[in-house]
Amino acid sequence: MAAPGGDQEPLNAPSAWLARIETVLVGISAAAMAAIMCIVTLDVAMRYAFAAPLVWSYDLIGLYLVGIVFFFALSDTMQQHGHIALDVFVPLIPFRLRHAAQAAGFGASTLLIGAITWLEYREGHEAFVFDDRIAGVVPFPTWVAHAVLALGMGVLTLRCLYRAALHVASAAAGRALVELPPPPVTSGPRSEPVE
Amino acid sequence: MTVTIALTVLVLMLVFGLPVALAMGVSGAVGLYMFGGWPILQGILKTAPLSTANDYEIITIPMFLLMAEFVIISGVANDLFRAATVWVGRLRGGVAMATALAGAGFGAISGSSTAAAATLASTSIPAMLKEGYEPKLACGVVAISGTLAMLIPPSIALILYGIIADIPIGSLLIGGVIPGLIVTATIILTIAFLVWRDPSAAPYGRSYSYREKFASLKRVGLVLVLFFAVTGTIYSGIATPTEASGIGAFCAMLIAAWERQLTLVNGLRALRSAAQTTCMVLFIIMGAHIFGYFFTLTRVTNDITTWVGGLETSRWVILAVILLGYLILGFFMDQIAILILTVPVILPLVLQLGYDPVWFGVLVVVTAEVGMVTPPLGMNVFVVARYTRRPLGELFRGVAPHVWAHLIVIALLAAFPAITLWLPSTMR
Repeated sequence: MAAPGGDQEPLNAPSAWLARIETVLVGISAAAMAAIMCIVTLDVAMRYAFAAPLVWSYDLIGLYLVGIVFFFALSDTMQQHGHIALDVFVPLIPFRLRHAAQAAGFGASTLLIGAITWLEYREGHEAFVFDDRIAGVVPFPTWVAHAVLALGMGVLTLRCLYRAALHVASAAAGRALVELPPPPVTSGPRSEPVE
Repeated sequence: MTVTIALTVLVLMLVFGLPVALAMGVSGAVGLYMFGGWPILQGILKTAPLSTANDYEIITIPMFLLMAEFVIISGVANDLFRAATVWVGRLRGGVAMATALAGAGFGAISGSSTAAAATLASTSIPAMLKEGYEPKLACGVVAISGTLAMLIPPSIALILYGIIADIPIGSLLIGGVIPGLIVTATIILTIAFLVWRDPSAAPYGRSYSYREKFASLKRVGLVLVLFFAVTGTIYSGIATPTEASGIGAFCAMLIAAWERQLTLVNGLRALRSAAQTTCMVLFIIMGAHIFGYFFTLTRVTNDITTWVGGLETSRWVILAVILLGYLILGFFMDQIAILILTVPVILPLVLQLGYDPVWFGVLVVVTAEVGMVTPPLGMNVFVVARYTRRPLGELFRGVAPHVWAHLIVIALLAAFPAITLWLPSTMR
């Protein structure tokens, strides 16, 4: 499996544009992570020290913050090759076939992630129009959770679409035109085979 | 036919190197579409992503990951090794034994096996090589000691198992304590055996005065604070695992600040790294949800359970086959992916056979540890190789005796469930 990677430089302008959006989103994701840590600690401290827990913490974290950590980091993690994948067989597959298959895989993924984005956009829009709120101590609006999901998935859809297109181009050109994960540690330092 | 097509899509996508989460999501969606058309698929796609993220319990994963990041920044993990060396370093193979103890200590403040291997590799291997240890022995000990973090709480693998299996995370984490200590003792005994058989593999170390020994514990105090902030609060019932994870991350951040290592750059890097790893785990869980719905609707899990339940075979034989399957999967797949792919199918079968889910979870994680150090995908060995630049073959040979010893521990834990279940039974 590929381990979460380091910083991947974008290879071209479309990728660089996407990477800028991803950097902003992952920054917000990191801030949400810090917020969860502080809120949980404060909640426990308030409960034991003053018998006054933060009554809104459970809903705020469960409804919004975990979603922000997850969905806003999705596309950046994809760009950095951080989503684990089985990489033992990849070097054994002929170059053009490999890229063609990955183009098909990312194409199918674009459809799936795009469908989720669209469905969530509709759910969020409906929740916004009808002002849906949770039945908690603080009635947080639910459309924000849908919007976070739709935004994060939407950027991932674009990243998958980009990968599908560039893998097609790589298969056609016979050379790698798309960002590839670093070679597995099992192999020595070698460049991407070119046909 | 639908199941065959979905499984074929899954296998093809995995083989061609697509991310595991996408492979599971796409193959599950294909199966659902073939089974019930767009209405069914639409219903699942509307619920699966949000239900993955809208879960308070799941914050144990990002918080423990963040805790590990801050611990690494703080540098206190390195002090564990130094303190252990002061106490046991004078024995033949003592520095290697100290590495195992430091691995257990690091496991008590971090749930990441590869992070443990990386930290140990950067500190203990140079020390062992400097003292004239055989590189094979030194690297093998580091690779296997890193796996202790998977078992000793807070263990990300056990938390993940608890979330997938929907069983109390607190019991699972506490259930990992005694098996973790047994595995630590096994590593030390294996080292003792290896250096007894071949004394040239490891020399005696220097001895330290009691004053030096107690002075070394001063730096370990911070680790103990963190350990009690997490495992102590869970065991005593003061905090839930979710709360303990948040407190643990916060304490680790304070320790990093205390050690003057928490710069803005380091802090942001830790947050981003923890966010990315969390995202990777949750994305696989989301893909597994979609795939799991497909398996549930097509009754694949039920059929497998019924079929195995009808076999005229001892339940111990079935358990042995299951554990063998986990060992083989561990050779090729990441442990997180293995858990998410298999637990929803295997656990109902295990429950039907009358086994305890907490005990089974610990057993699966101990078994998965072997996969971290066996070829072709022993991640811990790769990490050690990256740090030491030693040949992989040598490292895998170095870890082989520990693998055999580990198999004996697996058999022991399987034969005596009370070893695992006693401590959780005493929890408040």
